[in-house]
Amino acid sequence: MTAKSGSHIGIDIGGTFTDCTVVLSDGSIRVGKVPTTPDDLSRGFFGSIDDAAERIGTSGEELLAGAKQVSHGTTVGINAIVTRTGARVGLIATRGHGDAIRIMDNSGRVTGVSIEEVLDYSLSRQPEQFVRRADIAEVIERVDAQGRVVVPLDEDQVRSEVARLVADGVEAFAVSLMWGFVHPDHERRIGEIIREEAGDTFVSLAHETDPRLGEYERTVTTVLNAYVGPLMHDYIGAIVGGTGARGFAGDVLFAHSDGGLVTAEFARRQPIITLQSGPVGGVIASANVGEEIGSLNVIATDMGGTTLDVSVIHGGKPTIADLAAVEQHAFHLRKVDVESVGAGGGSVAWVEPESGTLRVGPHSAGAMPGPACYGRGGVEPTVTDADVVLGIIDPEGVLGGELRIDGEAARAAVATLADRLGLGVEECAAGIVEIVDSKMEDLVRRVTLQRGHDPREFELWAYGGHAGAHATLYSRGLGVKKVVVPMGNLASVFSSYGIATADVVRTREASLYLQTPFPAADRARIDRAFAELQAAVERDCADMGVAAEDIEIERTANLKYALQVFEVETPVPDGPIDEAGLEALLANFDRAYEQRFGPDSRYAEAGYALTQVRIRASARSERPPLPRLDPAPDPPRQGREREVFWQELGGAVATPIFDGPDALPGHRFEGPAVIEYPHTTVVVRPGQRAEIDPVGNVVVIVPEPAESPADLVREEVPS
Amino acid sequence: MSVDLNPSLADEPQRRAASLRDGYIPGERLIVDPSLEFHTEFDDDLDPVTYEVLRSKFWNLNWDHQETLRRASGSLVVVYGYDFNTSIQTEDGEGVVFGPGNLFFSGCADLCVRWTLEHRSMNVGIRPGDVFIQDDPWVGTNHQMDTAVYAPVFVDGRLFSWVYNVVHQRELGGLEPGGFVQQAQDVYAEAIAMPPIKLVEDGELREDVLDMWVRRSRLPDLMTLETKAQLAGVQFAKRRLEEMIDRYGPRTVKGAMKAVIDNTSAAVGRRLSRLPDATWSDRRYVAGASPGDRELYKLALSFEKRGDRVRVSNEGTDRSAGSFNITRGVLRALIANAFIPFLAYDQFLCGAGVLRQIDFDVPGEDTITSARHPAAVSTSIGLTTAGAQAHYLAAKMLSADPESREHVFAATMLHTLVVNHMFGTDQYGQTYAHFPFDSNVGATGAFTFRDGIDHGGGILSTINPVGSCEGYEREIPFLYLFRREMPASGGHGQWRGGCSFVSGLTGHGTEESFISSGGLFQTVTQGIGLVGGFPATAGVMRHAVDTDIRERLAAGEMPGDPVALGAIYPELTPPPPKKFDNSLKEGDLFETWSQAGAGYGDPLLREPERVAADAADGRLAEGELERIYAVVLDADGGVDEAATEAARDRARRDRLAAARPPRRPCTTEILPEAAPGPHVLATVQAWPGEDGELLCCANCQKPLGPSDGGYREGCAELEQPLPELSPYLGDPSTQVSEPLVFRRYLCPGCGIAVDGEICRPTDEPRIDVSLPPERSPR
Repeated sequence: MTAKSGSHIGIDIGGTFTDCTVVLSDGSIRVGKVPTTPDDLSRGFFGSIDDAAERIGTSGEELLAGAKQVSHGTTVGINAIVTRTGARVGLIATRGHGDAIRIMDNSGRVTGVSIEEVLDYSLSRQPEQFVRRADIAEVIERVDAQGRVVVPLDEDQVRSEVARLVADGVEAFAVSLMWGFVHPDHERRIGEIIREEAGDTFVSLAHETDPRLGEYERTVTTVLNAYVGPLMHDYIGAIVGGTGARGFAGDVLFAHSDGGLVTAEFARRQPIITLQSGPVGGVIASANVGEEIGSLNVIATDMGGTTLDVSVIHGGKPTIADLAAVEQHAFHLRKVDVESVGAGGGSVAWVEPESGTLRVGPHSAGAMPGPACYGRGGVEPTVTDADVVLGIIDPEGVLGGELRIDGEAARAAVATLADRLGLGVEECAAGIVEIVDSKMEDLVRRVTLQRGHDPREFELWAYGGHAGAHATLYSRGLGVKKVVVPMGNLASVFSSYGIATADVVRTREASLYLQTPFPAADRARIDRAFAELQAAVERDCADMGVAAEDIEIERTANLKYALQVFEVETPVPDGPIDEAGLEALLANFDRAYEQRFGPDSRYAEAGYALTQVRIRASARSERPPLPRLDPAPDPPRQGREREVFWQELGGAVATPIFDGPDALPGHRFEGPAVIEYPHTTVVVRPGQRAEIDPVGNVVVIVPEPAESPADLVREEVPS
Repeated sequence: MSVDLNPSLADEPQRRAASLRDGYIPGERLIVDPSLEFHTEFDDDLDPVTYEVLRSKFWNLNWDHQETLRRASGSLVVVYGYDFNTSIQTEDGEGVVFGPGNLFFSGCADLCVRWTLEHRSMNVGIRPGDVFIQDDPWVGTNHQMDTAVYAPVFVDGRLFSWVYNVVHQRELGGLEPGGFVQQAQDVYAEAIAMPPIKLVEDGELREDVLDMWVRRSRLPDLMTLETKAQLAGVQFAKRRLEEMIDRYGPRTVKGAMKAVIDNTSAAVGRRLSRLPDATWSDRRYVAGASPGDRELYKLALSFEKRGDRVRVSNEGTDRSAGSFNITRGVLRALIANAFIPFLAYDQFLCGAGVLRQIDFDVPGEDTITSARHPAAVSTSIGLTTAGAQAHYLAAKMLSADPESREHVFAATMLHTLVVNHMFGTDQYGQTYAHFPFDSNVGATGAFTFRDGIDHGGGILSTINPVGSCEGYEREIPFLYLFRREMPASGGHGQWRGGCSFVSGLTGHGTEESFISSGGLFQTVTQGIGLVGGFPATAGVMRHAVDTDIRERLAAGEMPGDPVALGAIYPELTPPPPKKFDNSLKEGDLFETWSQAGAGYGDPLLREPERVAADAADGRLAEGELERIYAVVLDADGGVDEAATEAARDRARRDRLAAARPPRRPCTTEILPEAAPGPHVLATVQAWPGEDGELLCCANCQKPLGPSDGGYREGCAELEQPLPELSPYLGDPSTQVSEPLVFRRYLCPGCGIAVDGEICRPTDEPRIDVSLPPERSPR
């Protein structure tokens, strides 16, 4: 066990399980999994490490003491927001603008809610606020769009408002001023006054948290950062203290939504960046594994109990978005771009009373009571119950080594619907699967097309407990040629694998507003802004222990056409933005715009505007390469068969069942077949063929589809 | 709708001319050139799984069409204003699915397609590879800027279906830039309206037609781009639909289309059937036909419900006037717009299913809501006003049914259209034109069971973002002094309307910048409350020039709300209505409101605890706690129950004493031991009486009048000036030539308001709801 030292350890806390993936120095992988401990999440954190250590044949302490890197994806922040248990926040805003978070861009009713709620007004409402009206202090100061001071900061008034809020009992401060991201002096000075008046109370300054235009979203970002700040501070302290006490000498790294890791100190200061890190692990893992095997264009899908999360990796890089929503509040967050649809294993099938027709979701039975087949009191038929009725999931099996499937309960639940619809039970179950898979197909197509890509040029990667059972069905309508269930059983802990192998990433940005013709003085401002950003990220990286020569720099800028609204993040060429540099930048933008929005979508005649510049610095993780597995000496062992209902075959057929952990490179599985792992089931449909690749991925070859999806983005306007 | 199999085409030119004069409404049968073959076969026994898969795919296809268009357009109006829509239609034009943008287009799309079938199938023909474009309000669109682009989809040489999109194109000409011509007295001052023409023929773009389309625009290049974005959208949708047909077969796809419409129509029909057969009507006043015109104009609308259908009439509406008219096709579209969220909220925006239950009985007479060519129709004022009336009347009608009542709400944002267009020289020294949305958003009205939604948006579109102050400040030469929530602005009632906000602006970095004070006259609010609820403010615009605001700001004086601003600058007063060039250079001030939601039910019925919470949250203006709600609080801000009960008893008595006694008191009594009849409003219920059914107060069962003669004459009438209801309601006499009051109809038994309206003091009560005469034999 020489590989025990120098390992990369990734811990991901989910709603049900806390997963730990250990990548040993020889590249081999071990996994720990324990139930999540909601009362004290750090217990599950260390429990999962102990569990993994046990499988390696060592102790948690020993594993940690020898570890090269420990990284962690936490849900503490998002939990506090959803359960409304964060700090009482005092908000300091520019006079006249403290209501921005109440007005919510006049869109609070519809932000991040299902289309059903958008259309039925009686189901929707304005969400609860995170700041009480009385805890908003408006201060005298004003800056304009060019960063000029129109009203000087009234420090005495600030001081008395801060004192009032402290006396009223606020536990954290958010400071978000109009145009503070262009002229941060007023926010900085207010931060100093708060420290003078309120000691080490958590302070969140908008120009640091979110230097972007849009006072509503920026204020929400800043408020949420303060709202979770004190809790995260304590939690990070417990994790850092605990790992240190167990002998880990390094800096624990935290996963953030921008697809990388930062040190505990950064996560403490800007906990908001950890907020939507949940889906990020899986996307990073897909990108990293994909890179190793030469799969650079990947549609990454994570099908859990309630949702299907979809993101696009193009050229090896995850697509990044800037806008997020939580509890109907919109905010800015640099994050791996993930879209969700309410379609998961727990999605409930029901009969719409007005039309008497079958619907699936968006309501989910969730983890509790969960599908009827879990035997926890659920009676509504879910997608998982349908999978059980069809035999795709073993009606007498055990999920994850713990949960015994109640096949009769699944059947009874589906039968109630089947009776109402005049369908056979299997037919009804196949119908439920067809409906939910159709929705997933449509979402995957949309996510890909909207980002300017053609799904036929991508592989579909499917992870999360339910993914392998459905992706091979709905992929047929998309025209993808391969469905990859990454690394077999690792699919269920894929996220923690991603966290274990992620890079250190730090992004900084600044806001500008410069327009055609970009005279020399404006171009010099761009150069200056990049120079300042570069110096800042290099400082950040040094603080995180990354040497300057290990940093990889990526420069981008947001541009738009003057009379159009969409901004597109555009690669900025190396070197100064002189005339040639500008020309290259604008050409990059034209290309990026057309790629994303279609040919003939641009209106360059109106001129260009540049709004944001950005530097993303990353330091590559020194993860060992994935070990190549030895080819199988023998064909796969086939021990079992069970009846599985295949809609393409019009009925149930005795189907070979294979044990996934025994599957090795060189094995081929002709559909229909089912490959079972403790936490995942891979369905090879009739006409499909599955193989195991050299790193252990299950690769399902999807035959040419009967029809091909629309080539939306390259749609030609007739000429 | 069906197609006439043996049509006579001889009178087509006459019918075409009539439709372009009176406004197109299709007849029972479409008259189409027989050379055009229709693909009409479909499966009528789809299994429930295939049905749901295809229903969901229609929605997703249409959504992707919408997003394709939105992305390719990149226009502020499309991306943030949601002033566009997309749909899939059957071969004869029925709309299967629409998107969540502007919903009234669900009643325009079928008109465009059907007009094209009836008047273009014989000449220029409708063939595979064709795409049509049109913006004629007499064919099927609100105003000339709303450009429809739509394409037939053929299967085996026969017309199978259509795909359609419509976008408010930003600039298509007309006397005033942007095309909302406030000063127009007829259509000739507006952008040229073009009936359906073929933009793409057999797959080839007709550059001559595109040139003609954009030639009238001040921004022809941008409109070319916009038109091409629309084309890319229909081409995309057409291709996806063709793929669906390949995958599932034409009979199955058509069967699903028909089933979606049938199911929606059945759901709407069932909901209508739960209402008693009765007639509901509304008459209201609007003002602001033209700059300087102080006249009041009447808008009338009635819904006669029989069985599972509604017959719509606008009888009683004044003749077309000024620039605030709409065509009758648009009125029909607005009825669909009002019914969709109330009657088809769970049916994924299937326009045809709603329209099938409507009998539209509006002749081509030249009224404000059924304007004949060449009336002026470009300003959208008629659209929002008639839309607010349709919304109000639908909510009032549906308040009669306890189940449907749960889905309706009172007047929402855009009930009284305010327009603040801007132009001038910007802070970068460039000429600019822009349109901040501050006055075009706002709150949702009160529900019948809870308060309305603050800043919750309206129903013309389901999504109504306003845009950030910073975003506007970057592009428009002004500063926001404040964008301030007005928590007390929601209409009063048993349930409050949602509250709105007010924006204070000052010019910044410009010596030449202007803002319009366009739209309706705000003192004549169209945000009328439901069944005794108070009206909502349409806001107030205020303007002042050449102030010392710059110096005060530099000295650290920051007025952060309208009261503070008004205290410094008493000269801040309403600008002339409909003026397009109020100065907003440095030192000038302008204030404008988003619109609040109207209230539901008598405020005296609001739970006292809620009133106490309103008081604590700043949701009551000074004195409203006592004057409007008659609630007494104790020293800690809690409800003093005994004192409140006494105050409310006193308030009812005082009201009745102050009110005009019933004009025709009802002397008949309810039959003893009788079972109650249906509600006709949430506040009025039918009960059997000696001489037939009576309309009675639902609160105390006091008979108010015969069931076919209305209840209002049996009510006491309490009239109040509008400014007495809320400090945010203006005085109409400052803007119009006749007085207007808020009149409430009080039950003489319990003193509770049964309904209310804004009317002239001299107006006789009119019957707003009546049961059919046969229910009340005398």
